[in-house]
Amino acid sequence: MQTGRNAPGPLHVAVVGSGPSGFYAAEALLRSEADVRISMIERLPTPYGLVRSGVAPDHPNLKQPMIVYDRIARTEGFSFLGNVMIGRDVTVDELLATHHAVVMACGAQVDKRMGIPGEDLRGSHTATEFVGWYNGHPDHRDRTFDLSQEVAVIVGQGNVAADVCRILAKPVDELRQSDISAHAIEVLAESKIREFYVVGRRGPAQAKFTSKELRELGSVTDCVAVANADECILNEQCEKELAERSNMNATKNMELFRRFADQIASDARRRITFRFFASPKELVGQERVEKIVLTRNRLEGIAFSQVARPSGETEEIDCGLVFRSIGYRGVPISELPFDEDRSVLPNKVGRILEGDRPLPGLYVTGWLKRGPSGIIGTNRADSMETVENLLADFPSLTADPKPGVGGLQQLLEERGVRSVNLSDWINIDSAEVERGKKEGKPREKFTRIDDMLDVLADITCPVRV
Amino acid sequence: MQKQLSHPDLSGLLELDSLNSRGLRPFTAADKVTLGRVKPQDRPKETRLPHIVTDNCQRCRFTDCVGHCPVECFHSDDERLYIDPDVCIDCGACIPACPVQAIYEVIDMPDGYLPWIEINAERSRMLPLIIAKQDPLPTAEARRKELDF
Repeated sequence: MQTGRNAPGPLHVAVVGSGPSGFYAAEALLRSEADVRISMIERLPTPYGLVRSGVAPDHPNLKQPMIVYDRIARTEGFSFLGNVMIGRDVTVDELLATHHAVVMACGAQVDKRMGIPGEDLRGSHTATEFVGWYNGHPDHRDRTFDLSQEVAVIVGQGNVAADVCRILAKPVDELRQSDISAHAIEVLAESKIREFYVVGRRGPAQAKFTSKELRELGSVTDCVAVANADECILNEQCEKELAERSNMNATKNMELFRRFADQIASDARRRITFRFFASPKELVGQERVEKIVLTRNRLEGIAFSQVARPSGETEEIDCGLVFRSIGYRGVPISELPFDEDRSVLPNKVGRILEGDRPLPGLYVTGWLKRGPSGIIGTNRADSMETVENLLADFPSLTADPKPGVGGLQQLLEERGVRSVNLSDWINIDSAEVERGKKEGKPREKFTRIDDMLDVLADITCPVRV
Repeated sequence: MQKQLSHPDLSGLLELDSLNSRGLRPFTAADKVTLGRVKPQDRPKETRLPHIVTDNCQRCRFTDCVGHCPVECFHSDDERLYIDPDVCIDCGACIPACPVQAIYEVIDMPDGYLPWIEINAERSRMLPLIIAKQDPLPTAEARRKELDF
């Protein structure tokens, strides 16, 4: 704890993004023995990233990390600057001029495209749009989804696909007491969807669902999950994959899929059908999606490297809605190098690279560092790794004193940017909780940035932080 | 709490007010900081499927799980780890992080593991929290071999 004695003042670090990876980077910095000040920049007035706007409303447990983040945010030396956007309000260069180091933690914000004809027909949506919509994200709250359709196809077999399917399949009454946005409840209540197809290009042994999510998808009220028994017959390489002890999740998934395949006739109101070995080839329709054409695949290659190859056969599913959930991509940041193939910032264990050379003071963490994999906690280990390297660079970073958050705030004020600080956020948060009370919800989110800022304009007596 | 235990009961530290003004520091191997702790009363009331650390952790204590835990629910004694079921959010991030597959969600645990639920609950409440990965026990590699991982 004495290490800072001869150091030239505190280490000022700007963290861009306030989701899990940003907060865990802040935590690791604040727990270190270095004398650190953190400015966390967030483009929305509200923090917590995908814990707020990604985690499904019927998974309140998984939102509990917000309590952890709240306590990190209240730690001395931490400043929150919401409603501040890189490129619009401030540049990375300016962050670096006012701070010793910048940690990019802005995640992977857009969906991968299927790259097929008809992808942009009406009725074809990304998982991000739908998830953002039901979670009240300002970017997506005005999207429309025509749930008067009877059949929906979900392309992708990961946990986001599971969320999309479950939220659509669940009786809406089971969501009313969650923090799902009111506008979504209204639309979901009128949903006519009866049939879901959840399609994956490889087999049941390669599905990416964690078994916990898959099990949940198989136990939705008044909904039956089915699979095709023939598709659950595994080749030798798949059997090898399942024999591997580290692949326990796939083994558990396989048990579930086989149980779904044994499903006898059911009079449930809704049905989820898992389809494997099928890739989207085309969306067909006049005004809107009317059907999806799938290419049948077979697996080639050895265990754990099996790839889907088209078998030449195709099949069609009549459907009025398609949701694609085949992964996310990071978005390039104009001043920084970008790895187009992996859609991440090129980096070596968190140090951003220009060619082979680390860019002094620039770091990356979370999905923007390693790609969109893992769950909330995965980002904690990842951010600890990035921060470990940042702190190893500490002596070279702190050669010159920097103004830190004060300098940044001055810059923002000069530009007339209304940044949202921690006590502002606490006021927005309290107002949301209050709004939720009459419906028995944990909160009713504000879904427009102006509405969030209006709360602050109305408040005359700021809360104590 | 049983008085003969060498580790103090830390439950008094769980309240935010009892932390110093910069509660996240310092961060040392023997860290007992509880800032990240989720208080049981903050948790939604719903059906719980707790996660448990079981036999394989004994004499390993690799602690990779701790680095992957988003809410700090791991407690440690000299030989192994335990999960506090009141803090665990059942996310499962720790399961694939363990090099010797010591962690299970209760619904998936092997036969005969039932007692581990109570052991985790009991022991976690009386042992100190650990919040970051530490060096494994000196016996860890031998034990990993023995367990064939």
